[in-house]
Amino acid sequence: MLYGYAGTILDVDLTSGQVAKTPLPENLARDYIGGRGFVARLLWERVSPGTAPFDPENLLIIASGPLSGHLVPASGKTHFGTKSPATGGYADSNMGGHFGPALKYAGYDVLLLTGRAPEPSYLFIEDDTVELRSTEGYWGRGALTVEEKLKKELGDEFKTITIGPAGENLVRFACISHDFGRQAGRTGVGAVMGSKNLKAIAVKGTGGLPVFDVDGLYEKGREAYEKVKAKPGFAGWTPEGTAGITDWVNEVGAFPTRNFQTSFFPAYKNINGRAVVEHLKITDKGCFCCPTPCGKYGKTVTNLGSAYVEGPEYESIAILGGDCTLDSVEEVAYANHVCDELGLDTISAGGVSAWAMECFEKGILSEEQVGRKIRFGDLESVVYLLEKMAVREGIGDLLAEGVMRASKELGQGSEDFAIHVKGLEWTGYESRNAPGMMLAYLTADIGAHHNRAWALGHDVAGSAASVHDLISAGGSKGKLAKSRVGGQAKNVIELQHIRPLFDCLGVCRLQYMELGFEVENYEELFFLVTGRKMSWDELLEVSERIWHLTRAFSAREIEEFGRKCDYPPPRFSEEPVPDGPNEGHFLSREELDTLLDEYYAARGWDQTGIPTDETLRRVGLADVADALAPGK
Amino acid sequence: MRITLHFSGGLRAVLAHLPEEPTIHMDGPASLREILVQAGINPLLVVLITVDGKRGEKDQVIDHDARINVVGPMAGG
Repeated sequence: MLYGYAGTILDVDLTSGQVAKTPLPENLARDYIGGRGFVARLLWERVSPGTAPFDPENLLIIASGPLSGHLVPASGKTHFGTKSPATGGYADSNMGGHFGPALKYAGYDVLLLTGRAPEPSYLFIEDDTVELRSTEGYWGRGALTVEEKLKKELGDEFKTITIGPAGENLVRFACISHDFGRQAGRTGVGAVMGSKNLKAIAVKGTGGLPVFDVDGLYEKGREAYEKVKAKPGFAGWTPEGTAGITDWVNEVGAFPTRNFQTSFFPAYKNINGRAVVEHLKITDKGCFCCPTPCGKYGKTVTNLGSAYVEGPEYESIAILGGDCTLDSVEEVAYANHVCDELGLDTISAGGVSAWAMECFEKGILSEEQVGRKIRFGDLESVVYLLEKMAVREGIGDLLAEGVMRASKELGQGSEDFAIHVKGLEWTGYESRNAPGMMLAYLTADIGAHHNRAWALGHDVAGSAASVHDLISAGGSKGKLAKSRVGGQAKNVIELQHIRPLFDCLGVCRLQYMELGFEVENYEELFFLVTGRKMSWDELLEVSERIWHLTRAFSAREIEEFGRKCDYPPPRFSEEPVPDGPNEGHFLSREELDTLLDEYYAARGWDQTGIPTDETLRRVGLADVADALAPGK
Repeated sequence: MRITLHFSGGLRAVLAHLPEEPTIHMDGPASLREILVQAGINPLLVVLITVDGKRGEKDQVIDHDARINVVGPMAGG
């Protein structure tokens, strides 16, 4: 008996409509825990080398973790994985809400989707019933609109995921939407779903889950819930949610502004957490079993229209706000809503828009090519670009490829300010004076993403003036000294094991990372649910194994993969920050190599950035070592 | 003035030496920024701060005994 899990993998071949249900292998649960671990292992085993992201043979995997759906704080996470249309390598994306628990209550830990439906369809799951249904009237419609229609058609107890026109049109950064504002946003998972002619999945589960110690879980789960609410950060953090850090990121000079030209946005107080609460918010919104509802659901009114919208969260504020320089929270929220409805990842879509506006400013893109004038700070320009890219119309066809491919095609130096790593657009932390955060971006397994290792706090702690200096300066200094480069690898690696572990367990990391909910609680809850005694360090060993596996997957799939894929665009190594707290700072190519050299050595990878045979065998990946051996 | 400070997990993750809930004494009215420095915390590492449960600003002056929650660096979702 696998306590905690539903116990079944649901395998759906969309081409034939065939459905297979197989027991969840015990060794998969033991060695990879769940969620991200299942995604990584199943991609490695079941996607044939060389499969293209939009081939029917590519897999879209949806997996929950052992704690998902149980009486554990914030246990509503669901993980998605595929071979990425954005990078060509390993891809995953995590989403809050209620979908994963519903899938488990229907009886499934993992949903494997392969093939391509003969016509646009949605997948209906109600416990044992699994069938493809027609999307008559749904195809071509927005992701939020279709979610609402499905809820009306099937009932509110069905939990749905949908894609918008962007996913249907294979935009390489299309997302999967859920719960009217939660997204699996990154790496183009929505485009892979679209390539399979799959518009939506609706699931209702009425079953239970086996728990090792029901009484113990009930007692400790309730206790854990109260412990989280009693944490000192709770009262400060929950009212504004993630938007609450906007001021701070500007104060430390890490706020992406004007396509990362600089790192401080003078109008940041117009778009911060307080502005979200005062100008937009109607109510808080939380995920399954969450004591810290960080979602802010509200209404925005702009010259272009009005909309109900969840958020904007910090990442959308940073990229649609600072990076596109929209300086009112209503406009940021409206652009956020447009992305949600079209099924675009706000981060990548905002980054692509900012890149296009800089190209236009520099004369690299003409009015004729774009179809109109576009400029930073103009909501109409941003919405125009979003709408074009979602349907691949005119300039939108180029933009839908993402900044890496678009800049290669356009040339004229536009590659220098195409802000990405490995093909995935950069998230909300400008890092020219944050070597730890920079290293985290360079080595994140899906591309330039922050949630694998968020090291900015450590960078600030290491680079800011000493407390004694601050006393003489009255506790405030306007400019930051250049950070010391070197010595960041150990901390980044530690974070890369901790943060993704939550994606394996199926719980939100914010309670631990931001509120300090102690690891002992997770050890205890994991035991009560699964009956397996695993220390935090043992859980982290699993997370390390997964890290090497995802790197190996990309090494197998991407030609000449390695160090050259780990560099940022030249903007970050050649252009000093022009103003703000980090004025004058950048990380030279030599400094980037120092960071990477130390990181590869600490990881047990060779100096080209590939896991060594010895390392792979040490972490229990002998079969992967064999597959990557020279000559294979 | 008796100031009870409560440091968030995010802050203690960055500054591992910090106790969870120290108490310090200030001779007279002081800004939150000065109180943080007195407690050995670089104000740049503080993202959010509450005074007796209400959101505070770093330049806000405190002139009475208070319980201050200090939230350190955290990622944006």
